[in-house]
Amino acid sequence: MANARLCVLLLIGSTLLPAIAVAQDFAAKGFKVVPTSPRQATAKDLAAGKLLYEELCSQCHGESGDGQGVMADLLKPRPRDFRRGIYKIRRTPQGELPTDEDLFRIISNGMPASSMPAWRGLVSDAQIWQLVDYIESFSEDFADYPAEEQFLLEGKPDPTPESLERGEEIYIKAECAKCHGESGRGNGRSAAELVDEWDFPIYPADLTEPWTLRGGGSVEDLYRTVTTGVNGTPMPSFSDAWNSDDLWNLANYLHSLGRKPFWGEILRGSKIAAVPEDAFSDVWEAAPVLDVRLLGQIIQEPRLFNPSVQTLSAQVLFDDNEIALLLTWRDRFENTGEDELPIDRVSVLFPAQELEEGKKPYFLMGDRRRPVDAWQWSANGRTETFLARGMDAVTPRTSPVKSQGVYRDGQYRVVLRRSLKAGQDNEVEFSPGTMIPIAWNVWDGQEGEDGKRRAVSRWYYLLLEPETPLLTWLWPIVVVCLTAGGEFFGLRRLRQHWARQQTGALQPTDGTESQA
Amino acid sequence: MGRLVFPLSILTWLVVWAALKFGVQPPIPGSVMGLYLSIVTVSILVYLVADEARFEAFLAPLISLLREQRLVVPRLLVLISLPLLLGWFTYTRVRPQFDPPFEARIIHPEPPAKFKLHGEDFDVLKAQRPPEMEVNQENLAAGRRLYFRNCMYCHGDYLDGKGRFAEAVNPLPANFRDGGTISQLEEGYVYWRIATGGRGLPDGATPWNSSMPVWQDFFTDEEIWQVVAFIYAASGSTPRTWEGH
Ligand code: HEC
Ligand code: HEC
Ligand code: HEC
Repeated sequence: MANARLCVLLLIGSTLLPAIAVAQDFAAKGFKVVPTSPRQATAKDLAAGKLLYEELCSQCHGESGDGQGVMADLLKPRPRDFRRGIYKIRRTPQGELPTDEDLFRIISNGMPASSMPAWRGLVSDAQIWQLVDYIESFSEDFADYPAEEQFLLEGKPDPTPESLERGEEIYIKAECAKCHGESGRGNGRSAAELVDEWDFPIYPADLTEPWTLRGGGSVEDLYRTVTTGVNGTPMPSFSDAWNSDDLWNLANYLHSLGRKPFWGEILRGSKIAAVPEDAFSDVWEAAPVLDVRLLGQIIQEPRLFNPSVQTLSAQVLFDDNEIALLLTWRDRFENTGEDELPIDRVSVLFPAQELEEGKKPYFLMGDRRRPVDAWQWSANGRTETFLARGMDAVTPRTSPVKSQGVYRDGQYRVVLRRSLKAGQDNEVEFSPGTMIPIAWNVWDGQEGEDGKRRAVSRWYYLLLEPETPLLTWLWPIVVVCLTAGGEFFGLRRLRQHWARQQTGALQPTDGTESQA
Repeated sequence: MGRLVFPLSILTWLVVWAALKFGVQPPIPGSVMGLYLSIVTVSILVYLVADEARFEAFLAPLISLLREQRLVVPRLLVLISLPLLLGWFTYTRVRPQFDPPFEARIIHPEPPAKFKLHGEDFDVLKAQRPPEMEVNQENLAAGRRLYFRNCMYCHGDYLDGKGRFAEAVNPLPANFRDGGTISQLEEGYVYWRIATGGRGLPDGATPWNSSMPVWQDFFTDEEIWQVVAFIYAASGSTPRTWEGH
């Protein structure tokens, strides 16, 4: 009997104690915490929110807020089930509900790299507040257990070398790499095994592509993410183990891992002495990057609605004989075909014939009238080329393309080389100074992508920059010489004139003698 | 007063330039800008030359710069930088520039009189919504489901052409909330566009570029009418009708 009482007491104690302890801890560890002030929803706001919700949100989040809208099964990540009150992006401690402001912000900004749109600008601020009220009404928890405190994102230190170094140390000590990988590409050891609260597999975020983070990629956003965690996912909160300064330094470090994307239209390459065969050669560092947005192939069956690879970076270099393309993309797992899964692949497409009237082939592997020259590299090391007249009319042919592909720490780097001149009919020919359409396809075997289920791009342009013609330099030089000469002679004439004026002023009789 | 003529003239020129450059939206094209600025330059010069004393007051600072012993450093700076600046300007003009070729696109090309819909002839101009496909709750609900399961990725859940894949395609997906798209078209035309997609566009409309899928490969004739009804209703627009002609 006494034992049972002790047990109950202990149980109550163990639930209460950490709560008190944690509440005290935040301030002691330098976190700035303030109380929340929940809104009082009026019946009018709720009614207006309901109407808006049914028009704008229910197709994804479901009429009853259960996350089962008409196309929920096609989306990855799935739309949120609001009935359970689990929210990812919050300033409140781990496991707590978000504040009204948190919801306002996420509805305004949307969630990048998911189908959750940003609503700012499409509906008014007042309407977003009405939506907040209505969404909260799906879960009783908002009335019963609202979050009591929230973190302020204040005190950001400068990203000094010391701050970054300390941040990196914490990244290692807190074992972020276990999930996010050494370089932060989301390819850690445990990456394959994680599931979220809703029992769907979930991958750790790729920290090198900050524009894909649900909660945003600014230093403040990163600080908030590591401080409060991402509810409903394996991404923990680190505010119990580390103090506020530590997490700011960590946020600075995470920010430094992120790269800047180079969106554009043209992939430019310059001429060098000899193109590199090696994907890790230093010369690539100087070559400009084009980042390419990929879409799922949703134009022909079977379709791919959620492509795994959404950005591919391309670079190009050439020499007297050869062109070399470097393609880089993130892939959390290497699939070389040794298991049941399809092989990871990439292909580059060019029009196989010269364009008539600028008409490009259809961007999905060409069409009957305008074929495509496709070079394909597979993770098992094979390089093939095809002549394609549409996705269903792909014929292999002897491949003049040489390749080197390396998978390292969550990333593929593949170099494809070929002679500038075409070796057979219907092959692309590269000549400096011409715009050549170029497109890409990528397959991630881990996700079962194969055949038509692939990520594709539209046409971009490849430009091998010709050497600057001599005339380009001649004209500016001529202009410089002419102006300088003009200045020289003009000034000399003026000087003579002034000298004459002076002597004329002294000896008003004669002006001609100051010729010298 | 005389000492101010030079700085005031330069200031006037700069103010006009700044007003044209930053004050006008949308930005003025470069060639028009050049024209305006030469007019301004000439006007200022004419004004200066009109009065002998004024013109001399304008020239005075220039002359002292070229003449006075104490200004030798600024003089050298001006004399050296002027040719270099002009040389740089010439370089930016003659250096080879590469821009992607301009691609003209007819947004709403003339439709073919007839096209094959599931193997049968369909007359675009005479097409009428069949009575059993009238715009009612049931057909709209079916259209909504079709839209969100198929079109949203490009045309956006708000029907504003900003779907998740919108930025990855070129041309951009149509914005159904824009007055220049479906509200300018008859239902039959929209029906034809949806049934035959980007591949069905006539040659003049750069068909090789549009990613718009060929929906007759996915949908029945009835389903196409349903999705047409939905995009009009949800974007708050109405089709053009034959009476309007
Ligand atoms: C096209 C589909 C779609 C539409 C339309 C949509 N959402 Fe979402 N929403 C999502 C998805 C998907 C997620 C989950 C993303 C994730 O878990 O990473 C989400 C998540 C959310 C979240 C949770 C944020 C968090 O911190 O966890 C809120 C709140 C939300 N949506 C509100 C709305 C509101 C309000 C509307 C209507 C104005 C709306 N959504 C419309 C797809 C949609
Ligand atoms: C147990 C695995 C795990 C560990 C350990 C882990 N994370 Fe995460 N992390 C995840 C997962 C899973 C997500 C993706 C959440 C999602 O997609 O909603 C994520 C997401 C993130 C995000 C992006 C959130 C957003 O806005 O989308 C950041 C930043 C992040 N983690 C940083 C870290 C840092 C820093 C550490 C170490 C201090 C760490 N993570 C440790 C699993 C983990
Ligand atoms: C892969 C992206 C994509 C998908 C999916 C898609 N569209 Fe399009 N759609 C486009 C693009 C791009 C255009 C603009 C170019 C053109 O006119 O073909 C367009 C144009 C249109 C137009 C012509 C509008 C005008 O003013 O001429 C209609 C109508 C249309 N789409 C309806 C639909 C419907 C209905 C669906 C779903 C059943 C759909 N689209 C799915 C990309 C897409």
